[in-house]
Amino acid sequence: MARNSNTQEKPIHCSIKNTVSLLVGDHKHDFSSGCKMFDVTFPNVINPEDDSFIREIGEIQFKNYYVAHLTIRAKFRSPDFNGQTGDLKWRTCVRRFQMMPDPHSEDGSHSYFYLNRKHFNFDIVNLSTLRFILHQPSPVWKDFKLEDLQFFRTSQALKPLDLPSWLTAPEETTTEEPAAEKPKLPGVPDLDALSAHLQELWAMAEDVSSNQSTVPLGRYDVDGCYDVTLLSYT
Amino acid sequence: MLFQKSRRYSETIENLGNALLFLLETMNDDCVMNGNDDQAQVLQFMKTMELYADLMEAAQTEVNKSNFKLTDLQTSIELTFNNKGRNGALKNAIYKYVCLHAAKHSEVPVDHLKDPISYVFKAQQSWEKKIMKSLNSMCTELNVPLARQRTEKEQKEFNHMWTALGADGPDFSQIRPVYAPKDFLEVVTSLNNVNYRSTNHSGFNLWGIIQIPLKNRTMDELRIQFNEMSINQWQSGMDDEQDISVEIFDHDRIKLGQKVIASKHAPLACEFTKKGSSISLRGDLWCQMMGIKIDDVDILYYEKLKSNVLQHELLIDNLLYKDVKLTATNDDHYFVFEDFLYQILLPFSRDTVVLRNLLENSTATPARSYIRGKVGLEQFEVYYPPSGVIPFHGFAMYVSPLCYLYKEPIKLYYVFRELYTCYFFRLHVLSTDPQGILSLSQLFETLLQTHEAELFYHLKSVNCQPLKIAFKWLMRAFSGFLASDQVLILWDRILAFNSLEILSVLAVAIFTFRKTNLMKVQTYSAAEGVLADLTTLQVLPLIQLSLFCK
Repeated sequence: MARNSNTQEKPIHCSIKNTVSLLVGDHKHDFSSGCKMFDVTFPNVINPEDDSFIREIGEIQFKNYYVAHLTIRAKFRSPDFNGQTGDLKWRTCVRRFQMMPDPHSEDGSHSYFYLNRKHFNFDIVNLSTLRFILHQPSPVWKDFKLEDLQFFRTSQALKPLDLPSWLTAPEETTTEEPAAEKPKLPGVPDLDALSAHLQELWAMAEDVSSNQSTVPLGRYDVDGCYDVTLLSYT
Repeated sequence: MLFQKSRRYSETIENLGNALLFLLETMNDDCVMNGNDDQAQVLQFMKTMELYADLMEAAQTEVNKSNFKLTDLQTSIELTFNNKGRNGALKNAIYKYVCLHAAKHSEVPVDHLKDPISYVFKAQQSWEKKIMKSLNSMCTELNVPLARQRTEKEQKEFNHMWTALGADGPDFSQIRPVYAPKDFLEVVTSLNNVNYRSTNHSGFNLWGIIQIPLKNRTMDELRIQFNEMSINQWQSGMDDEQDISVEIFDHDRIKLGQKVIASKHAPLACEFTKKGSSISLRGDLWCQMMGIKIDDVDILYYEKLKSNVLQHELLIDNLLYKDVKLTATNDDHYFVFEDFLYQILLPFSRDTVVLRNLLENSTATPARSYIRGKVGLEQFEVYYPPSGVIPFHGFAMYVSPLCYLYKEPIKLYYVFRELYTCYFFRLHVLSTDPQGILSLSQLFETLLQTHEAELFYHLKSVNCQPLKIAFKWLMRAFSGFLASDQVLILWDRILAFNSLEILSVLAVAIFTFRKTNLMKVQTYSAAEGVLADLTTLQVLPLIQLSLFCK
């Protein structure tokens, strides 16, 4: 589920609003409800006046800090059947994604998470705002939040191992090639046998060069010398 | 015809690797692999084993047969493997890999992979700095280098005395152990999470001295995990004693055990050993469970380690000597094995395989240093000691019980190395690993508080925290505290269930067993006195009482 580091995609530009603690009843009492939320908008950097919406979000990446479970709601413009733009509405995209299996203990409290299409209830397209609702029901923790939040357009789905085609394709029936088609050069040995031997030689050389062992030899000294006086602290 | 076949032959050699990968996947049902990375890693792991060359050779012989059709590649190679029993060896290799390695994300930073909880990782690093300072100060006090080359004469002498190193050691009165279990306990109890509300405010009343909440198994989950040790099941090591009626059990067990050993299948050996192993079969069963087979390469490797010991003298050697003299030599059960211990421990500290395992699987950062005169130059940076392990007081006791099982030092060496790199390294390193010493201590305290609340409360009120007594048992896996045969019975279960949690369960069971005496104590030293001598205890009845009789 991790992003392949070979294809570094730039995260989508977003602006994360401040976190708001959700409170219950009148706000005079100091009561921690264990529930926080923040909004994320996606301003169009290239053309600020353009009110166009983000095409799609494929993957959300973040580091947890003591959040027990997470709900994400998305505000988007629904497509209208008449071809006109529809209304803005809210839908729950991810419901109660559990990050800490036991809210009272440390498991999962500092872990990295990657949410992609498999976790979303519907494909996120034409998005205007994302609302993250954080829950931490345990009274044991003082604070909880998400860190390093990043959004990516596509998610790297892992491809299954491809079998080479010659393994699955039925073998072509090779009939004897009519001897008349092969040119016979006088004084030269049989071309087929020659090329076969060369092929084998080349194959063996390739095999050896590609099979270099990476097992280390277990040497701990430097050129036979291991005179060490003190340990270094760096 | 020949031309086409030879062209395909070259393709076959290149693609045989991929084909083998595919076969590995289809042949092992228990293995859950996600994506190409994991499969590539398994193949890398397999390439280091002799099994890989064997399989490739068999596959190539099969391919070379004249009636070979390319599209039958998969089925015919699978048949070859099944025929010669290589299938079993392949399954054992993959089982071992799965036991050792967990799937890792590629995006996550390296520090986070070591331990996800950052303050635990930082605590481990500062503890390591303390150890390094202590070692450095010992060096400067005694005016001895950490490592130096032996002269030719010294090497010859040492080689001459190799099998009798215990007889005539140098003077060790100046050397002190770098740290002992009680020092490590102080570090463990001082771990503190700033985001955690103190017990007064939140109402979570934890009586123990571990201050971080780690998720542990409950008693019910432990009962399910260890259900083969249930009180209604016969157990080797307990039920095979003198009665005539149970002699039949012992004979049956031995016959079954011999069949299991002959099948050469590691998971099967694990299942068998869950009910214990007979004394005669224990050595072979352990080797099978850990995937140890001594061949010429291994013998050569051990000889190379021995020559490394002869070439360079390390300060660690003196620490090990001192440790052996303080612990094993003073113990009635193990003093006869003193020479063996040196033959195992000295090469162990030169073994870089241990270092690689530590770097991959543990939160420890082994100490580094520079060659004399070349401080700061990267190409002269080396790890010290080569194995990355700085021994503490009691380290030699990890090896001592094994001396009863194996006569030849080479086999003993590999078994010890495997035990250490799979299990025992977790007992002296700070991490949130569910098998680490932190979790084991937490499990002990939670179980004791839940099931023996009266006892725990009484001990707490006389200023005696139970973990302070039990910690040294956990850290040494009870070696040197229980009788030697009982230690081996306990370690049987550690290997069979692939879990160190049995240590915490046994510690709770011992407290429960001595409860009546403990309820009468009024001081910490009296409590220590009650629990000082464990050599009369039998491991299995205690565990069964504790797990299955409430």
